[in-house]
Amino acid sequence: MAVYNSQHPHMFLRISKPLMLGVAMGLLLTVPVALGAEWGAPARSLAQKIAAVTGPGAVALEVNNRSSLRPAEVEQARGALAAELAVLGVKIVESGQAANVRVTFSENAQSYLWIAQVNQGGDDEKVLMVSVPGARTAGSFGPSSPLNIHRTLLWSQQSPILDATVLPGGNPEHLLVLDGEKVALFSGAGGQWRPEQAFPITHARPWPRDLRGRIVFNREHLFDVYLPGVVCGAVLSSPLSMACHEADDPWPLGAGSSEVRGFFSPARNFFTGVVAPGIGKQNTFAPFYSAAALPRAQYVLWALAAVDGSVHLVDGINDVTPKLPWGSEIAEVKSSCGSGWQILASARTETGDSLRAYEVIDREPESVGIATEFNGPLNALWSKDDGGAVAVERNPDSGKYEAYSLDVACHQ
Amino acid sequence: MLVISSIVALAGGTEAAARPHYGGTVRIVLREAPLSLDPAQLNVAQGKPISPLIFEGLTRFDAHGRLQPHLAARWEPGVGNQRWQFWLRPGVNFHDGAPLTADAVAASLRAANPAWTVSANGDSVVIETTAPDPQLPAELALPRNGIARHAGSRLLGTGPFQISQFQPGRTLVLAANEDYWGGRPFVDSVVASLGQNWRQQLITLELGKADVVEVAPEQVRRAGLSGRTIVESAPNELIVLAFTSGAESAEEARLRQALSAGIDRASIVNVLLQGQGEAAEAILPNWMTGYAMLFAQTGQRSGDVTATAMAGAMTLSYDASDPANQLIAERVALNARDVGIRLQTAASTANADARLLRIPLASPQPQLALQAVATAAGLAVPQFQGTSAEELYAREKELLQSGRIIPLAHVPQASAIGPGVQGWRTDLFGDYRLADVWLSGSRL
Amino acid sequence: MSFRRKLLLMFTLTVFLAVAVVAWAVSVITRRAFEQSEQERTRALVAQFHREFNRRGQEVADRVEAIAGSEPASRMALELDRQPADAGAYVNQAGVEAKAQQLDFLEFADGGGSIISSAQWPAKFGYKEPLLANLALARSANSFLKREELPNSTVLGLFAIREIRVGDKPLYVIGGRRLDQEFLATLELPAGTRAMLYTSAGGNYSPTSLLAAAGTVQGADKLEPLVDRVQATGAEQSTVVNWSADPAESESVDAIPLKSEQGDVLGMLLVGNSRRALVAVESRIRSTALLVASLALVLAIILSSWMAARVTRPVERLAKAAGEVVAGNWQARIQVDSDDELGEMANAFNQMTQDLTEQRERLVQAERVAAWRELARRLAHELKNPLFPLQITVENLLKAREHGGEQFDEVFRESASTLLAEIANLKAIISRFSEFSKMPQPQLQPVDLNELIRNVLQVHQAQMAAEGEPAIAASLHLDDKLGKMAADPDLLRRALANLVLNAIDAMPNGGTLSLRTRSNGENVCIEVSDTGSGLTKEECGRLFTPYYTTKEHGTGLGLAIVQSVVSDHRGRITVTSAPGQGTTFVIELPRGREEAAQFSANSG
Repeated sequence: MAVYNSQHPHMFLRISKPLMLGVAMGLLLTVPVALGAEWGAPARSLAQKIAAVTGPGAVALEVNNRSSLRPAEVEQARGALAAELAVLGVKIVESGQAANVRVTFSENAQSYLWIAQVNQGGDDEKVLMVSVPGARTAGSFGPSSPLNIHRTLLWSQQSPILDATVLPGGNPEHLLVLDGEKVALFSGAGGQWRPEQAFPITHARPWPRDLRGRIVFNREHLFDVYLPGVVCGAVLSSPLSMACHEADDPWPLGAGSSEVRGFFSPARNFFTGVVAPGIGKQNTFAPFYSAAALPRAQYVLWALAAVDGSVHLVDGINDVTPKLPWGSEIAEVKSSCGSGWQILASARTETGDSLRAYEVIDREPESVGIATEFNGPLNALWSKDDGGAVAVERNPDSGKYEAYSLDVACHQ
Repeated sequence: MLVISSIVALAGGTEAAARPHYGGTVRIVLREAPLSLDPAQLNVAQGKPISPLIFEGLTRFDAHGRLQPHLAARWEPGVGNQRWQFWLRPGVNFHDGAPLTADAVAASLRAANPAWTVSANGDSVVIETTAPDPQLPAELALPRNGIARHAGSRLLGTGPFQISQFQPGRTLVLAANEDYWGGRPFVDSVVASLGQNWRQQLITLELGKADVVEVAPEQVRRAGLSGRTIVESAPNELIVLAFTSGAESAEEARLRQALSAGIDRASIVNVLLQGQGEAAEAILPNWMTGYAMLFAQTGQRSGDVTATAMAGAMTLSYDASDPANQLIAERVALNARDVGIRLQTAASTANADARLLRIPLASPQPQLALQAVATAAGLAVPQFQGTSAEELYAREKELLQSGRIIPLAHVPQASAIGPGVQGWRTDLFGDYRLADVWLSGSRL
Repeated sequence: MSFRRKLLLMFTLTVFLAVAVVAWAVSVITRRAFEQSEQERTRALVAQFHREFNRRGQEVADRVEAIAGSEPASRMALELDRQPADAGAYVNQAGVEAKAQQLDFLEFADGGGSIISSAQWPAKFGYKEPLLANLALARSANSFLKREELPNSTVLGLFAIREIRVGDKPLYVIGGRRLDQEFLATLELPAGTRAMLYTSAGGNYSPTSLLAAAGTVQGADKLEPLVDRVQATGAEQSTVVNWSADPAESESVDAIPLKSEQGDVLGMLLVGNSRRALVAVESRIRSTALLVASLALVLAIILSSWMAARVTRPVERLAKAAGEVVAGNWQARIQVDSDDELGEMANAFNQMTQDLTEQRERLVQAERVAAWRELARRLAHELKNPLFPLQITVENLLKAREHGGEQFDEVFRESASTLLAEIANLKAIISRFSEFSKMPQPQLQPVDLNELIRNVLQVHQAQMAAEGEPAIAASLHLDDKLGKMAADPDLLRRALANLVLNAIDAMPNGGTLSLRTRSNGENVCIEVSDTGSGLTKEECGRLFTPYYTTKEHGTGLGLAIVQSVVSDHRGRITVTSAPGQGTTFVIELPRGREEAAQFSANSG
């Protein structure tokens, strides 16, 4: 018998998860446990509307879920509703002579929608609705990578994250998150960040598309922020503030403490290729997106991910371009594995970007370990002073930008 | 559930994950063939995807269908939603470099909406409507309310692209706005070939002469199987039967109910549209309202409602320019026959009893979408006092109970993306965010 | 109608009939020959149709077989064999394959009979294919005729079914080609013959379903009765269709039903043979017949005239002579020109008239003799009466003289008186005879007949009411509007007097004398009736013979005089009587106004 399925198995559906699961994960994956309070207001509102129709008395309540709420959340919402109904004198009974109330937890693009269909016999059915703003808080981080690149979610938000840095030292810890409008300062512990301050970024010229920026720890005044054509620096005042000025200052390359800096195009998304001071005798290269430094005994080997897709390995004398399947994001990390320094290089997978660690032995970078996959494209990858790196990805399911701190661990 | 099906195909395997490149010309092909780019001359459903690239509105819907500030940084309603004040974003210029001023905005909005009273007030614009209009901010996101300024023979906007060359109905060339306030687009230009049908567009893509083409819903599966990258919006087009007049008797009303109950929407969607879209018994899709399931005709399958013998046949006309319309109309006629209703199909006949229409939903804002549907179907346009779901449900229910409209399916908008196009962001409503797109490989 | 005309008519009719019969016979034979030829042509065309039908059917079967054996179809069957199978992916498959194989119809259906893909009606997926209810057909290697429903019409087609079995579930391929004008165009038709296809079945006649090789058929409504008959009977039927007022445009149409495997009429093949040639031949036959008939008519006229002349002239002569005889010319004779029957007839006629003349002469003679005898007898009788008393008287005188004396003077005086009376009587008798012999011609003048009758009655009134005699009543019924008439009053008075006297004499025992006058067009009628003893028939017949009388006395001339007067007035007199019923004399006289007027003018 021919079957006309609603979902065609051959549909060219190249998302990582089936639609429903992906949407579910994208919307509400790690929701704070204390959500009962979140349903209180809508439950009260809906209960009042139901009670206005049925009056005090018994109702048979049926609850259906057609939204991305998880079963536990559905139960919580149902409980909240029942409690509010009870307050209004509406008692829930098994179906019988009572009025029938069918509640459906639905949702639309803007919010959840709770619908109550009240049927008191006859053909006249009252439909009541309450819109519930969606709690789209946490993003998802997928299962821990079994690879030797370990990542920890630092922060996620709707607007693009350019960089994120945990300021070293300090108790509690402080997290700086850079986006195109501001630097947000959070304090917290155990993965829970509490916003403290936000430092707006002023700029006269429009930002270029594919805005890039980085936060660099500064021992003197805590942090600097580099953006195309703009440099900001923290001002140690009380409260802490930040001052920005239009400037063409070169950005630190590699880890923020590196001395080599590269000039960033104020109207583009790449480094112009001019570095200062140079790398050895070379100070002009092809424009590049990112750079990673591998300290050697005698020199520092720089890898530049050029705009044209090639990789330049520069040691101050030579500039070779091996064929490497690297993307435009590279950063060095320090580890206790191998030579102690690895280059993390991005690559594209079927579903998003991935990061793979490479060691350069005799000038030929070789992959070490298994790639760490991300759900979406990588928006930023910066080396940090602590030897780790921060990667920012854009989660395609939730649409949020997620900043991860990365470090390489050697697993047995 | 949010039905955002984003089908972004990668070539498979590992490939360099490059940052966006600047440069190149992205070539798109469209079925629409506008004769004028002036936003004020657009109707509520026209303008996409080109107009927003050139002329921006005070507000804009983001990729998730949420209303965001755009040229307006913020806004406030007056009491009764009949007066709105919008504060303009600073630092925005027209394509000729002239700053965006409240006067220019007011002039542009007045041209598009003669019934409004629009005035400049410092760096803000005040809009007064004749009746309460809680949807006004969403209306300002429509392409027809894009801010435009005439400078001699030039038509100027503030968008990421400006008009370089326009041959009405044939070709449009856009150049990147170097000083765009949101960042210069990656690509240098956009070339749009206009007025090409589905088949021509696929061939153009196949020949490598286009980077982005529109794909008919029923072609999506096959295009995807051929290895092409397909992106789809949420269902944003309504396929509907619209009757030219109300039922003249209770019997005729019953007949229309029987017809609605007898149509096998699942087959239309699963087979004729090859699974692209959703069967619809509500005017607005569930992703927009969240309550579409309330309109499901439970217990009124064709076996339960039968029509008495009809004296004569009803005529159903359809737009023959899309072959799928004929198939859908014929399928509806077959289903009608099963419940004893004679329906004759004909291409674009005047004086038909009913028409098969494909109505774009115009806006992610459900109230605006409902008004657009009512306008296109020739029904009384519902008015809203607020933005509540209950009011929306009530207005939609009234339209359905008028017996003049029978929804069949909601279909998404699909596009096929060429291999050199990167950075294509899925947009809930199918907008082309060409400013975010860049070209790679051989396309540079 | 004269004999000559009758003869002419007879000859003409004979010739016409002969020509008509010959023309009709020739026409019938010719038509039969044409019809036979038509039937042969029709049979040949039907045979050709069947051959082409079978050839095309085989072609359809081959193409369907090719599709069923093709790789795409096998792949489709494999896919659909899986669970769950999604047939929606193949909804357009039939259209593609149909185009490739140049089939007008193609459907794929699953084992349950549900259509997976339909080239001719793509929207019909999911619906049952009714053909598959009869799977015997599916296993048949033949092609077959079937009606195929399309969105806006139903057409006739040649179909074949094949089954694909690659898994557990069969997949059916049903393909076909239309039976339409393109098919008709492949038939080779002799001149004057055409083939049409009626592709509808049942229901009302649909002119648009009638197809010819060149397209639709003009005036297709005229074939409706034929089509209806074939649909009702399911058997071959034929008719003649007049496409216009011109008979040459008519056509013999044979309708052969095209049936399904189950015997239902699905459509019809109509073979039309133009009757132009037949009509032309018939027209020529008719023209020739007319020409021949016209010539024959002329010939007939000539012949009949000659024949008639030959035959009718003697007859006419005979008729003319007979007429003369009737008119009194007993000397009429016919000229005898031939020895044949007509000559014999003329001779006989002549002989007859001669005999008649002699007989009449003898009769006249005899009557004259008889009349003289009668007159003599009457005269003798009349005279004898007065003579006897004369004789007695003279004898008495003689005797008286012998005796002498005084007796003789008295006897002499008596005798003398008697002698004078009898001599006067004799003179009267002789006078009447003399008067009868020289009856004068009437002198016509306007006469008031009613007045005259009254006068006559008045004169005899005394006699009718004589004392001692039974009375005779007089009854007058005179028409007051009678007016005057032309008559001789004296003669008329005398005639009437005679009749009145005769009536009085006929009523010795009394009775009623009736006198009537009335107008009778241009004539005037006078009736004199009595209620006497009446007359026998014989007596009536001899009444007007001079000297015939029934009375014991009288000269018997009275009625003869009456008759003479009436005759002189150019009138006539009739008598009606029967024994015991009285007698009525009716005199009919012409009014004679002109004569009266002229007489008055002359007498001035």
